Amino acid sequence: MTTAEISAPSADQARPRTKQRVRRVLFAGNPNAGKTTLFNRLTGLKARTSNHIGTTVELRKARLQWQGAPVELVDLPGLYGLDNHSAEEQVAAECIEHGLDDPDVDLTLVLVADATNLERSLYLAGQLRERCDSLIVALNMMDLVERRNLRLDHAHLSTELGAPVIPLSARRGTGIDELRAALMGPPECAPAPCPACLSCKGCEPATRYAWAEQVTARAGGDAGLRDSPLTDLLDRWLTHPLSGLLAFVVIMAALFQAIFMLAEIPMEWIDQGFAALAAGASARLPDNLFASLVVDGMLSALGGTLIFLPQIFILFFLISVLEDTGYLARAAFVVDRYMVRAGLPGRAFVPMLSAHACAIPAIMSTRTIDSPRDRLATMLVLPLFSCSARIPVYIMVTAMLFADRPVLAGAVFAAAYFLGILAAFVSSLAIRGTLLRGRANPLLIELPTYKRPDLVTALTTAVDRSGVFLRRVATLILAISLVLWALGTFPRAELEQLPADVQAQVAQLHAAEADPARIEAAIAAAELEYSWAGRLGKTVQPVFAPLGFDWQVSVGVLASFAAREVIASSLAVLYGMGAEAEEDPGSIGERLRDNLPPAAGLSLLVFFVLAMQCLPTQIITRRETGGWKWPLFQLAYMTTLAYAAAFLTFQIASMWMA
Amino acid sequence: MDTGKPMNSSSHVRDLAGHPAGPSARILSLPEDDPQFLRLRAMGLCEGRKVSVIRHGSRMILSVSGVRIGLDRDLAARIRITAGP
Repeated sequence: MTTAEISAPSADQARPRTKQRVRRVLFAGNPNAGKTTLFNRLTGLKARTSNHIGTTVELRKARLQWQGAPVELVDLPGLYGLDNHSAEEQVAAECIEHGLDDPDVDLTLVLVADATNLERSLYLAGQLRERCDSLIVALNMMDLVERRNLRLDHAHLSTELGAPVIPLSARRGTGIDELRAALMGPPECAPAPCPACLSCKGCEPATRYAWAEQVTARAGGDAGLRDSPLTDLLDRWLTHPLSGLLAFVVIMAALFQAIFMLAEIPMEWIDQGFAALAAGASARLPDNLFASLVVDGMLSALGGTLIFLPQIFILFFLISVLEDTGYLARAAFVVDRYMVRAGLPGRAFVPMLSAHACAIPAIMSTRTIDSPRDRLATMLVLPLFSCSARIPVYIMVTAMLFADRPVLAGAVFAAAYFLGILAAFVSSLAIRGTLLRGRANPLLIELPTYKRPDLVTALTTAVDRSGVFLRRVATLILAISLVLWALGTFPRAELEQLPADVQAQVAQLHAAEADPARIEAAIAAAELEYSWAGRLGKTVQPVFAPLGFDWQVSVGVLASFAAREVIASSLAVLYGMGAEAEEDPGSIGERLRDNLPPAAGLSLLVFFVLAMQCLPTQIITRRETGGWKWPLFQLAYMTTLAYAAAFLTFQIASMWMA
Repeated sequence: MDTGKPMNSSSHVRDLAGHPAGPSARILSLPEDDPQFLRLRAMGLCEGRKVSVIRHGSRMILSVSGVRIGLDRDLAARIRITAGP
C-alpha cells in the first residue's frame, strides 16, 4: 500500500462532514466527438438544459444516484481547446475551476475522444489534464476503428496520458458499463503538469499538436482515418458550387414539406382537444366572468400556443438528424457565399429555416454563430420570416381577396413568404451598413465525417428544445392573453348601456325570433366596442386610416401587437360573427370583403408580413442580447417598415384598382 | 513536384490559397492574435502541421490530419505554407 492510499482516508475523516459530498462529472470533448450521445446513454432523459450564469452558453445537467451516492453529470459545450477564445471555452474552464474550488465537490473530468480523430482529442486532453489530474478518457467511436481493421492500443495511450482510457462506442452502447465503473472509483483532482512536455504550463498549440501526433502514432492511430471514401464522394457533389446548391434547395424543400405534413395531424388533435375542453368547461361552468376567463382567456391562449409545438418538435428533430449526418455543416458551407452578401454568416441559415416555424426557437439557435455581431444581426432580422402564426392571417386575406381564384390566392400566399425573406435580407444589409458595420465573419467550419444519424440523440434534442419553448413561452403567452382578455372584457356593459342602434338591432332580432347565437354575437360585438380595447381602437383608427383599416381592423392590429395570431379571433368577435367563426379564418376573410376595399386587404397582408407583433419573441431577444435596447430597436424598425410598406401598398393599389 | 528540394527554399513558400489541390504542404506561419486564427490553431491548423487542399474556390475545403475544414479563401490566403510532405 502506498503512502497516498493510507493517508487518503484519514484526510477524509479530518474534514467536517456537514453535508454529503457530491461527485461531479464534467463531460468535455470536441464538437462531433459523440459527447452528447454518450451523455444521453448515461443519463437517459433526466438531463435538463440551462444557461451558465450570466451567459447564453447552455449546459446540460443531470442529477443521478449511483450506488446510493448522488452524482451530478454536466455536459459542457463542444470545444477544440481551453484557450479561452470563445464564450464556450471560458464557460468550460470556469466549470472546471468552480468544481476544483468547491470543497463539497469531488470533481472528475471525462474527455470524450473521437478514436477516429485522436490527435485533436489529445490536444484537448493535454489541456484538461493540466487543470485536473482526475481525468478519464472515453475513447469513443471504437466501432468505426474496428470496422476498418485498425488497432488502437488504449493501454499504451493510458500510460502516456497518465489517465484511464476506456474504449467504447456510445452509438452501439458498448463499454458504457466500464466507463460507469471507472467513474465510481476514488476521485482525486489536482492540477498536473502538461503531459506534452511535463514541465510547462500553457504550451503553444504547435508544441501540443506535435506531442499529440507522436502519441497517436505510438498508440497505432491513423491520422488519415477520417477521410472515408464515402465522405470523399459525397463532398464532391454536396459541396460543389452548382450541384451542392441544387442539393441544398432539394433537401431544404423536403425538410419544409416534412415539417408541415407531419405536424398537420398532431396539430389537428391539439386543436380539437382544446375545442372539446372549452366546450366542456363552458357546459359545466356557470355563465359568468370566471367562465369567460377560463374559456376565452386561459384555454384559448394555451391552445393557441400548444398548436405550434408539433412543428417545433419535428423541426428540431429533423435539424438534429441532418446535423448528425454531417450534412448541416456542408449546407452552411454551400450557402455561405450567398449569405455573406447580405452581411450574414453561412451558419445563420439554420435559424432562418427555424424562423419559418417560429422565431423563438430560431433566436435561441443563433447560439451556434460565433461572432457576437453576426449573431445579433441574424437575431434582428429573424422575426421577418413568415412564421406559422402568420398563416391564419394569410389565409384570411387570400380568402377575402381571391376566394374563387385558387391560383391567384396561392400566388399571393407565396408572395407573402417571399416578401418576408426579401425584407429580412434587405434589413440585414441596412443593419450591416449602419449599426453593425462590417462584413460577416469569413467561413471557418469543421466538416465532420458523414455518418448514420443517431435517432435517440435527435429525439432527446427535440424533447429538450420543446421543453424550453414551453417553459419560456407558455407562461408568457398565457399572461398576455389574460391582459388582452381583460382589455376586451372591461368595462362591462349592460344592454341598456349599449348604443341605441345596437339596442334597436337586438330588439329587432328578438322580434324576428332570430337565432339566439346571432343575437349573442351582435351583443358581443357591441360589448367589445364598449370595452377598453374598443375605445382604444377607435382612438387610434385615424393612425391606421392611411392604410385603409376600419376601426375593427385597427382594434385587431392593436390586440395582435403582443401576439399576431390573435387577429383572427379578435376580428371574428369585432364583426359580430360568433364563436364558431373564430376557428375559420376563411369565413372572416369573406366578412372582411364586405367591410374593406381590396386595397386595404393587401395592405393588411403586407402589414402582417412585416410587423413585429410578438412579445414572446421580444422577450427572448432581450434574454439573448442582455437588455431592452435591441428588442426595442427590433420593434421600432419592423413597425416602421410595416407601416410604410402597408401605406404604399394601399395607396398604389387604390389608384391602380380605381 | 516540389519533393526532394530543400524545405526552407523561399521559392516553395506560398500562401495556402495558392496551393494546388491534392499534394500536402506544411504550415509555416499564421497571423497571431486574430481570433479566427486562434480558433484554427486549436482545430489543428497550426505551425509545423501537414495540410492539403481538397477543394478550391471562394470557399475552400482543407484536410488536416484527416479532418476536413471549410475555410474562406481570404483566410487561407493569410496562411504561409511550404510545399512538400
